[in-house]
Amino acid sequence: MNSLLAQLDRRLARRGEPIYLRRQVNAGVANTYVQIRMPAIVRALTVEQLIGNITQQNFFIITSPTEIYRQQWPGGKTPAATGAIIAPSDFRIPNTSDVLFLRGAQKSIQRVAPVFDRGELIRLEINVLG
Amino acid sequence: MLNPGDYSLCDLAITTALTAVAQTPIQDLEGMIAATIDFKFSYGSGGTTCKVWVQVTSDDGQTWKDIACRAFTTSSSIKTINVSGLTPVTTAITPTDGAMADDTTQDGILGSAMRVKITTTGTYANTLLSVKINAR
Repeated sequence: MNSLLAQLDRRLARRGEPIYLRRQVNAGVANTYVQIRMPAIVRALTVEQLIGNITQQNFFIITSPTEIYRQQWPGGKTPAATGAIIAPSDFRIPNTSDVLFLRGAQKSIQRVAPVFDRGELIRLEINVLG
Repeated sequence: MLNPGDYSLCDLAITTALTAVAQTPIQDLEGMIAATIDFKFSYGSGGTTCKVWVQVTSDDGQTWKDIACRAFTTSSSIKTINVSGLTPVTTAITPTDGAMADDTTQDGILGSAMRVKITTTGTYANTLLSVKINAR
């Protein structure tokens, strides 16, 4: 395992708080979803970051792809994307259509920044609002 | 089992016809002794038939064996089955891959990975297929 990913996982195990990541599939009025619970470091924005349209409802989340691998989120898919995550377009990386539950409230994902080290996804930085 | 829990074998909006389209498998299921499988078909309009085969492998995905088939047509339906890896199968079966008869189940055969294969006819709209398992 990548040492930076292992370091983040250790930190999340010690200090992470639970978040729930949910991917929903809709077809007309029908919908279904796949959800996982994962640890994350959640930071409210600082005074310096609260500029423009950014409010205190914004949170910055740091999490690891390890739980996504372990729980095989979001499950079986038609594209044959298997193995380690190597590209930002991988369906296992959260996107802005997914929702996130944090501290008892649903948040919408504004931005996801996957961080790679030597071609391996080691960290997910997510901005949420709600 | 090393990784018990709930997994999604597919959550898919069904539109144009699919012919034996396999979804990516859920892996690392070594030691699984039972699985409850939920099929949820939410019908919108159009389409004719939708067949779903749940398959397992015991050779790292080289060959896949049907363990259940559920067929849907033009109405919403939820079907649930449970299969056990501890059920003795002492009379040899001939495994099939996407050919098991509608609404049949082969108990007693599990593997280290599980996936679904889907065949639909006609063009569905606003229709959703969800297959989830609880493995333990």
